[in-house]
Amino acid sequence: MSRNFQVVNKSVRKIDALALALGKPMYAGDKVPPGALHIKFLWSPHAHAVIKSIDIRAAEQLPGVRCVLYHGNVPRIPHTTAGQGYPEPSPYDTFMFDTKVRFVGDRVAAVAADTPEIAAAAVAAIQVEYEVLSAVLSIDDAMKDGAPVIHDEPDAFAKIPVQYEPGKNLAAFVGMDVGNLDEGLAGADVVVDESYYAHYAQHCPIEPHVAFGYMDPEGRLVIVTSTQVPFHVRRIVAQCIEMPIRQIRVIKPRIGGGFGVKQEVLMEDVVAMMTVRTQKPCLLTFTREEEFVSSRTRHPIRTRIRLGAKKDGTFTAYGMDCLSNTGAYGSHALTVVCNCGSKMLPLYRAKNIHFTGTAVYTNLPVGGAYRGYGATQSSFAVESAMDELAEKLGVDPLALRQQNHIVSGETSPVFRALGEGKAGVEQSIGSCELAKCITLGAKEIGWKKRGDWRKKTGRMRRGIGMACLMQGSSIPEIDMGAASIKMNEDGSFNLLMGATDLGTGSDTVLAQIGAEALGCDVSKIIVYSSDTDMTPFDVGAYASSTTYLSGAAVKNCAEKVVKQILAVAGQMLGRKPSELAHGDSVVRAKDGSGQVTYSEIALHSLYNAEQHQIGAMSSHITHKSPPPFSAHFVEVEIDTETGALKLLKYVAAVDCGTAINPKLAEGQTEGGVMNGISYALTEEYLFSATGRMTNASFQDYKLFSMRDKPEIKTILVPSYEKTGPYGAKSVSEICINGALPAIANAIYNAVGVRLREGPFTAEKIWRGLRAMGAKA
Amino acid sequence: MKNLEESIFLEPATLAEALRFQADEATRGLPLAGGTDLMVQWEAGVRMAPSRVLNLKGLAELHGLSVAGGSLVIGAGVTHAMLRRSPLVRQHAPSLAEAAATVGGAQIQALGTIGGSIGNASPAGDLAPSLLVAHADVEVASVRGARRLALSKFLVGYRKLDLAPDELILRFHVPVLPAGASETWRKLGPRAAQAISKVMGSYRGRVENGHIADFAVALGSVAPTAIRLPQTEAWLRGRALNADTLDGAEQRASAEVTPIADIRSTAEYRRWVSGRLVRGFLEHLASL
Repeated sequence: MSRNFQVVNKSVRKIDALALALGKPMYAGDKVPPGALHIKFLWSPHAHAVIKSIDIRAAEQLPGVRCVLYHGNVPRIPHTTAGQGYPEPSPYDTFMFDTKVRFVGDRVAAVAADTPEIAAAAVAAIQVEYEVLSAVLSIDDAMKDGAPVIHDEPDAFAKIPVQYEPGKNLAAFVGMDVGNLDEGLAGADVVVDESYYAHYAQHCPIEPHVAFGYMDPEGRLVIVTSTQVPFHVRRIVAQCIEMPIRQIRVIKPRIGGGFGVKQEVLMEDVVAMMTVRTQKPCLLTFTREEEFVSSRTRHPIRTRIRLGAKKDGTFTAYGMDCLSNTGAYGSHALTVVCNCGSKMLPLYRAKNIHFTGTAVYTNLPVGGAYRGYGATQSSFAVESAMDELAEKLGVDPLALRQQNHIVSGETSPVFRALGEGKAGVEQSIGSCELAKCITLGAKEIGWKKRGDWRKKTGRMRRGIGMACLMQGSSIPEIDMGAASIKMNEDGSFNLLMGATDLGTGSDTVLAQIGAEALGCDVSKIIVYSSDTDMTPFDVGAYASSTTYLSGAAVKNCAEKVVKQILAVAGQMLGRKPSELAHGDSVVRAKDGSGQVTYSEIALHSLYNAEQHQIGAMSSHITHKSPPPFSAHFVEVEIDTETGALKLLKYVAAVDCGTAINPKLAEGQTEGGVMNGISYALTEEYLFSATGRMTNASFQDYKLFSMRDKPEIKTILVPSYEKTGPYGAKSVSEICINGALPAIANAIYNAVGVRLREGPFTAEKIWRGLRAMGAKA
Repeated sequence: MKNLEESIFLEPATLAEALRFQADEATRGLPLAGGTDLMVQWEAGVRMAPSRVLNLKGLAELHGLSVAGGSLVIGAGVTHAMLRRSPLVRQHAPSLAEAAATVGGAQIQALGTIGGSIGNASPAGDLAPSLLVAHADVEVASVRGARRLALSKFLVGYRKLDLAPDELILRFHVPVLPAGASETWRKLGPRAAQAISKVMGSYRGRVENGHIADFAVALGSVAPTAIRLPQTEAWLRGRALNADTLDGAEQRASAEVTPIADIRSTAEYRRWVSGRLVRGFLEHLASL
């Protein structure tokens, strides 16, 4: 679809790139006021225990210690740390400090002191007596009869009417049926019934959680924090420390990566409480170990897939049952498991569809939002099962997908049935170029050379695998974004947004959308995001919403401003607005009789006649969550002697609607692909028998590095989503979902080993080879 | 807990001065070369910073790299980057250059030294196998005098060296690769860079008329120290380089190692890969 864009769909340089590259002080940690106190936590050494007694006197008496917080001296207010729309679908099962600890790394107490060393010494001086309880260390044990109850406190509750049974360690349950799965399976010629396990992982942002607070001269609390959700921080902190929202200001500076882990109000409550109690600036920075153990993780989920098909490849049944480990708290428990179904079930047509999502509490690290948000876990299962089904049917797995995937104009009953903690919103697909993604990706990887694994010989064997993917763009009728714009004398514009650029480049993307609508160069847009005192509300950067949702808010706002610009220009030129055209920072009479520049218009409106501020504020909600689509392809080489796997090439073809900034869209895709590869091949949490993570450092938890990067080819396949700003959909999450299934399928294609649990280490492949008796 | 800021950094100008510091327990410091392991451990609190650190970085005596008397003489202060780049090392001990090129990342290679790698006495140290298969000697010294011993004798056990508290590692004597012989180094780790090996090793060998004339093999991460496999080596000597020999060597090597299970791998897998590495080495030897 050819559109005549001036600013969007162009790879404008990231507006903050130079300052970031020069190391200018832009992050929370760069802005800490002098003399700030340092906060350190005392973390639980036990997976499950009651705090019998706690003695903070020795800690308090250390010189330089300013404040010690624990359950005995803070309010007990049930809340959730999940930064979600209010009222949140996550249970209110968390307290600033509690009389019970629920995982190794849970909060026991916190200290603010003059130096980090004193704070550490004070933490060590706190005396705690625990009554150790038996712990739940696996999802299979959580709901057994007689399992220890993790949330036995009487005051935990669900804020909205959802299934929540803490007495059974059930953090969330959701289910839906269309037709009858059993009948569908009975009517199938071929059935696949397998379970797949997507494991623990952490987001590993280069910048850990950093937040500091200070009291402003008027006695208001200011929190500067590396968050994706400044407005949720303000609301939840107000709730936790019992302070009116008007007394709190939250500022989000640049963020050094979030990936969902900063969609969490993880430590701002303690920063706020310490700042209020001491009336001094207080800083909290997580160590890498704390980031691994005590922040948030990807919910590990075991997904059972049941697929039934006729010999001709038509699906008769499509069932998905997800069992999610939310860890010790229910942050995002319901919504992540909902997304397992709502993002991957509509991808394929089937008469009989079944879904259940169960999230259980365990005494292990806490799940949270993580790029992909359930779709990562379920796409591993679905796309592996698709290949297993194709194998049983004896057809090309590519052809099976081409035959069954959803296309433009179609709908799925799942959209309506599954929402985020409530019913979903019906929608039909307005834009889908998945077919083209598959064709182009297959060509790029060389799908034709992919042979049957049984015919491969030699020590080194190559395989090709693929996966089809679907995500969403914002949460319909829940998420809201807003922006305001005002015009300055030189024809520039201040664009103020609640949306949070977490390193994705969204400030640039949204500035491009504003500039396109305003008819000016992107350099004329001065972006400020986000500050709860200054910028309008936005739910924040999550659910693949910023470009699609906040971008539409910016576009709406800019269009309002253009109307005002045309009105003033009309007065200046003696023309009706309808006789005028705008662009290149100029308003021209369409008949060529005259023109005024934006600067002249601004000066006129501010100083000369009928003076007023040209400016507007707009907000936006959506009634759809148009999915981006993607097809990922990967070629691997396996050393059959050691199981060692080498990635040769990775292709990601993605339909994200109009790429507002193609280079940034490619950057998101490549980053997400590397993120996914790392998850698939090397990242994993290892635990001791008592539930302690044993590899909580970059020395032992391995991320894929640039030296491991295979050739990655991104193919942007444009479509035009009518409901999105200039045809845009989302791009940032979908790209992480392909690596697990595509690599699993490629391993199978290379050597015939089917791995249903990540990460795909050399040793797992080797064990698979040995189990088959295949010897080089 | 001791902070590094409180540690005294001894900065000897000469080797003689460094040895004098070490001679007396009251002035002795913990030897520090590149600091790529120690600094990380101190920073992470895994190990307490010592009260005195002996900084070896500036000692010119430890930086030489030359060939003398049929051996490469490599100063303890030679960095991985120097080993990787040196034409002498690449010619006379190519597997050592290969090993050095894969240690850590560029920054680690630029700072970390051969003396530090061996002095650290870790079974996962990447350089030891290449030195062992070359029958390298290590030269150490104290104010009491210098002594030279085989590296295999120097590596006593897990994190243990035959090194007196007052001694420093001076240099390594690495017999050059004999004419007609070959060697290489291989590693199996979770990713390309900055990853501790699951198993790695080197061999040096020579074939005469289709029979194995010499074969030395050493593996790391499969025993408390990097080790040679004397039983496998002895069995191989004089044998025809054929499929049966490869099978036999693989079995013997797997049986000869004593790996442990840790967070990086299981013992069973390490045992298997050890055998496969030895097979791979023999294939490498046969392909030349």
